[in-house]
Amino acid sequence: MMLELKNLKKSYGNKEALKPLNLQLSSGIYGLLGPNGAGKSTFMKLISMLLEPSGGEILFDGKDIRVLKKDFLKVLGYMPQQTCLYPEFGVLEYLYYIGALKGMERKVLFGAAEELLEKVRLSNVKNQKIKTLSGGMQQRLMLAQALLNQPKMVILDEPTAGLDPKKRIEMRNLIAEYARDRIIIIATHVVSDVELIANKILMLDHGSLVAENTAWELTEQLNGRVFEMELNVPLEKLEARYKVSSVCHRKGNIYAKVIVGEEEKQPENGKEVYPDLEDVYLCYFGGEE
Amino acid sequence: MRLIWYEWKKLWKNASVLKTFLFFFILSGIVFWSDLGKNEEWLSEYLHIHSILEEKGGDVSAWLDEKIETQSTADYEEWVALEQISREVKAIDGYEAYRASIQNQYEKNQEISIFSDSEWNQTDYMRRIAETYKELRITAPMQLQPYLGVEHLLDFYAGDLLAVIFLIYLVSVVFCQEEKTGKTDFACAMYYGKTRLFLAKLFVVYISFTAYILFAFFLNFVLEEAFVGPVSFSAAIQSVPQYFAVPYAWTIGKYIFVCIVLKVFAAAILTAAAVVFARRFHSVILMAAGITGILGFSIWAGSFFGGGGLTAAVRIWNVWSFLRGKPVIGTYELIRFGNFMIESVWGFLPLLVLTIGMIMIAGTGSRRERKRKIKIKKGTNKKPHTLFYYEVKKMWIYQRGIFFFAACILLQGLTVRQYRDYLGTEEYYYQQYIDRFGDRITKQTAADIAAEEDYFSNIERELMQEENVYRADALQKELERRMGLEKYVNRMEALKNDEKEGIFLKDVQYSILFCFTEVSRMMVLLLCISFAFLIPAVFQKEKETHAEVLQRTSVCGGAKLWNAKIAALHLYTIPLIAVFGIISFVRAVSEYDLKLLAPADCLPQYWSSDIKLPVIVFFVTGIIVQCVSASAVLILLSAFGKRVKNQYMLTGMILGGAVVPTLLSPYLSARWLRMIHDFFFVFTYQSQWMMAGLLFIFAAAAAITGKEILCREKNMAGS
Repeated sequence: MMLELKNLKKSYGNKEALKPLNLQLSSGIYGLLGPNGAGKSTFMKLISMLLEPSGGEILFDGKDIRVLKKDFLKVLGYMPQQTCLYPEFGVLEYLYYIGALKGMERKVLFGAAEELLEKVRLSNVKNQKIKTLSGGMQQRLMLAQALLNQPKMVILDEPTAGLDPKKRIEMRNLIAEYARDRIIIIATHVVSDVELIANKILMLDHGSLVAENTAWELTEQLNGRVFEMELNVPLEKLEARYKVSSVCHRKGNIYAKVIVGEEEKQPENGKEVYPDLEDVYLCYFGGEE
Repeated sequence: MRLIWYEWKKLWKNASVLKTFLFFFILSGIVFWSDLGKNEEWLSEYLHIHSILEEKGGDVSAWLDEKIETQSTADYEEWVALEQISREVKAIDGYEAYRASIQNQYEKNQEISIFSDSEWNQTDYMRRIAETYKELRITAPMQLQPYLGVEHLLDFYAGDLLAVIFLIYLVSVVFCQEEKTGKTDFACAMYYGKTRLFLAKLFVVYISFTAYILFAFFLNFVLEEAFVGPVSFSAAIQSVPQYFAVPYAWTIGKYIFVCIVLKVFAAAILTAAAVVFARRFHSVILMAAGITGILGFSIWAGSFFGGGGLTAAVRIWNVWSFLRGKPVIGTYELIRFGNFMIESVWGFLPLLVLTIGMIMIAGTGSRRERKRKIKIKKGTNKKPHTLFYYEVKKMWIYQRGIFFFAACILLQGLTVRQYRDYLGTEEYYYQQYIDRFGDRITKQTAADIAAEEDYFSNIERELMQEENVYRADALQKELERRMGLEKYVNRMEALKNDEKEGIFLKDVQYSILFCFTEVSRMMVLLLCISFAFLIPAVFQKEKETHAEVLQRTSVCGGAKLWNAKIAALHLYTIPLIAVFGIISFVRAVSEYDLKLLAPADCLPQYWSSDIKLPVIVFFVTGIIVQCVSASAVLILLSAFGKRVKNQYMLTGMILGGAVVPTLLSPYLSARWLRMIHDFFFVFTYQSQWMMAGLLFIFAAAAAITGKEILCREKNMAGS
């Protein structure tokens, strides 16, 4: 199974939202990172056929998705950022409705809906109206609808937004479990969501793909450039010199984690720490407003 | 002030609001122009006679009387113009006589023992009225001028109805829409987000509504001046026919100004009421129903209640009376509460208190209590259904379609129940002859007619010789039956000449089925109102919940979903039309012995159409065609509903473009107002262009359906 993007681009008038992009995605989880306006939404909308590309093509197993049309939609699962729910519908009823929209057979749908509700831990509220659910439950229901038709291609836009840490971990694990023999693209601002489960991280900036690598390889690039130091000067001064990744209180002291430039030396009182994906994100996009 | 300014900008920067404002503004002008246009035929004659009268000066009534006496009956334009001018002259010449008659009546009543008792409040009541008119000192000149335009301007109520619909739209945008999107709750978390923001919104709606009323009034004023020509507004208002009973020494200009002030006051009451409904019920439909109920009750009370006391208070102290002005300041009325009497103009005080009360209620009910009723159905074993099932459920249950449907059936049932056929003298006797001579042309028919004609000839001769007044009157009444015989004879000849089947139909008995009546109008109104609220709701829900995005990435989210939605809407519309037809049919059949197998072209309205279908078949076919017409419109409006961003705009357009003209159609002569009615109630359409319009709509509907089915890519593209 392969999704191939060939010279894919999208412009709105004179503005290039997505510059010519070449990419090959096989089974696995892909974390799509980038600041606001980087082109993430455009990228996902192009793959989910909500937008027409200005140029290039998207091939799924070697065939253009615009030729496949319905055959591609049959294997697509999409979870938008907004909760697309009908408040008056019951939980199970909503999944049945989405199943009908996805053109699923009733027998298959009957089993799949119950099973998914079990997985996303909503089976105890399956007969409740959606408007009575909490925000986190609604988010899990949105994930369930995306996975309902056993899609081969899953696009998840901010899937963990509004979830508490426990549910966030559960959701992450669930996605990881479903990743077998599927292409899953997760767009998020919460870097830790994809750090552990993504096979590859795609970093978009100003419509261009600036990095495409595994989380480990990306963090490895920063190895030796991330330091933790006690904050004994005003933060502004430190920020003027380094990229400050985080500031934390520990045992009555304030510590700052900084990223130094490639040619720069280790800060005087700095202690080298192993970088994480957030540091990588900051390294790529930290200078942007 | 800043909040008001931002709320104002928020409202008027919305392109839909501006478009809707212009739409209603222009529609109001068009309807007013059409109303004026009724007089176009004789306007030049009217203005010509006025110019002659102006040149003559002095006492013109003698000249006018002579002119009326010598006027040829063949000159219709001159006759109507003279009638109108005669009214205007009488208003001026007869004004002092009118005031004297009030004094005379009062003095005469004093001579009757029960009225002479000064303790009795009826005496006091009459005394105060007599004194008011006696003390009235009119300083402005009583001037004869062409008042036709001024009368139309002051009588034009359709503009007020349109204004109320615009108010419903404004409140739905400012209050309902913001609450739906959660902005109201969000604002409640701010320091000034409750009372101050509420008052700012209320003020902006009120000012916008008032501005609309003033602009529309000014437009009508300009149109009236352009149509009839300018008049002096410094003349006394009593010079204008219909306004001679005004108990104030005002000029026409001042009267118009006070009318506008009353309109502005009525606008405040209506705005407060609409906002209360919007804030309490959280629903556009319920808010619109509430305002319609208040307005409907006010109009009904104005015509239903008579006399003094509390009923007079209900009749005059209501929002419609203040919106119109004339019921409040057009005449001197005293509202009696036992021995206490108060002038009708003071009605603004209780209404002002009511308005403030409503604003306070609306202001305190700022936040919606979101009650979560968690109902867990145990042991339910729901199974998946088709897309159509879910669309039907969404529309009928979640969008309250079932209540709409039931309410429509109930209203139509009541209208049909209340409906009474109008039987003129001619029709009444004609039906009697059908009962006597039979409804078929037979060999005996000619002989029966001849015998009846002889009978009437004898009556005529007898009448000429009769000297006894009572006997002559009885004979005269007997002769009235001749009208019925004449119709019977004419119908028989027409049937023979046009080689139709020799059957007499009692025309009026079929009017509920085939004619322009309140039943047919109600049917069209209910259908259009259903479209106005249901179609946008069906498509807007997807936008509100963002489900549109999911649908567009689903296999069946394009043509199949569109078809399911259209089918669900048809499941509402087709049964509604069928039930409407059945109700009318049952009423007609249960009340009369209809000849259902007679050819339809024996009815006068289809005489020249040559439709040989039996009445029953023709009726059923007509209902089917109505369903097809409604279906075509449904598809067109659904296509709009799918694309339009603001659901209230489409609702406003349908209400303004279809419901208002149909409501006004029986009262104004403009033929185009009946266009929507004739389109849906196909039994009454008469012109070729109507047929062309019908074909155009069918073609457009077919094109839209075809596009939805074939061009899937288009649906997938663009966001």
